[in-house]
Amino acid sequence: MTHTEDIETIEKVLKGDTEAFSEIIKKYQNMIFRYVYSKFYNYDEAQDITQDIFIMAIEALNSFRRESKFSTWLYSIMVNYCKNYHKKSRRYNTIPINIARGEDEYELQLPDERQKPEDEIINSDSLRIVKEEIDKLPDDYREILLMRDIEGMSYNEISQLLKINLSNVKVRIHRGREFLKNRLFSRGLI
Amino acid sequence: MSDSHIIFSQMSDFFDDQIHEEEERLYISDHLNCCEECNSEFIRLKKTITLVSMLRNEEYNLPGLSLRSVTIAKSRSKKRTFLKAVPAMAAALVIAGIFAIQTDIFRGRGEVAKNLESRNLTIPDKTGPELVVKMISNLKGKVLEVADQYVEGEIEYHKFIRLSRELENSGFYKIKYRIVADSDPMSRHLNSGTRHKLMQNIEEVGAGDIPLQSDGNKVMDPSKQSVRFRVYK
Ligand SMILES: [Zn+2]
Repeated sequence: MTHTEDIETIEKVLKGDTEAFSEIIKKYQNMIFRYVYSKFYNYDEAQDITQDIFIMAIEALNSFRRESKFSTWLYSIMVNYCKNYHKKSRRYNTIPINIARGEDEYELQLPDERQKPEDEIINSDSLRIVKEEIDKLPDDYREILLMRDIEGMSYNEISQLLKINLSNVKVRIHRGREFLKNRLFSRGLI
Repeated sequence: MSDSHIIFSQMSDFFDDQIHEEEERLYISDHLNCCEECNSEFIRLKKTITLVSMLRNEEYNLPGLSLRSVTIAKSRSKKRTFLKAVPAMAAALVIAGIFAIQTDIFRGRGEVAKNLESRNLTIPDKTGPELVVKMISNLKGKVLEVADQYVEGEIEYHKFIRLSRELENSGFYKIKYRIVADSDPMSRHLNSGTRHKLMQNIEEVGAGDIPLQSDGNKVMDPSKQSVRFRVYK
């Protein structure tokens, strides 16, 4: 679906054909989910949030000004939503596991490893390592590499979305890439 | 410009075509051609970016996402229409049903929906579960279960205080609750047995009592907590 097709679909939705929005969701769900998951690291929760973001987009569709790309507009809704999502940010979701030991029972807190999205799709070892290392990046760097090197956004778009100036965008991109490059090098991948 | 090595930030800018001075651009490109050390570094940068960009093709398993989102958006807009059209009390009863169905069916649970569907045929009791579901939904809480004796839900701490007041005013005399550290996503992974165990920790209090701190000496920031609760008639 091109930009023009996005606009056509949006026209339909605004005229009352809400179902037409399904096309938009299918097109952008991976992009939205990827970002949300990278913020919260919980598969179920990221699905719920992704859903909320699309609902919010449908409800706010009137405010979409056609001079910007729809994807950028949607992305800005998502970035704001995630920023305001009140939750203690934590890297791992802990699940209590009861271990029976004679009469005693005690709880172990373990990271939730069960439903990582990469298990679904990426089998390639090198991409798995890339994902592991991206996950270890400081939040700001991970976010910006996702925008720049995965979603292919321009420096200007990123600057507007993150509300930081262009030189800060550059600095974050440099540092994120350098950080990651060093990690991938040390793991023998590049 | 001296013949010093190219620093990483320059390479990164060069790669993204962010070097705006012609002279600098030429220098970098010449240097990369003749300096093995910088050239290898530049190749590592390009490989890194290539690997990262491959993640763009990743697809996630998100079953039913578009259908759910669209359906919920539609039912919400219906709700707004209703609110304009019908007197408040009648609307509340209808909306309670819509809310409950959307909160539950679409999150993969069916109990609330089933319960409410069977009740739709009768005139709902003013103090029935529909009202509780509506109150919870209005405060943006989650409805987790509607059973014969209670409605179970989860809500942010500060909203719980308001909810318990509203419930008290509506004649619900008992709420059991437990403060959880956050919105408790773990509950979804638990089977019913484990979940039952979890509920045993819920303290029993009257609706008018407001929780102050969680257990023990730990003083947690209340704004970051959620409350799991059951409302009994
Ligand atoms: Zn050099």
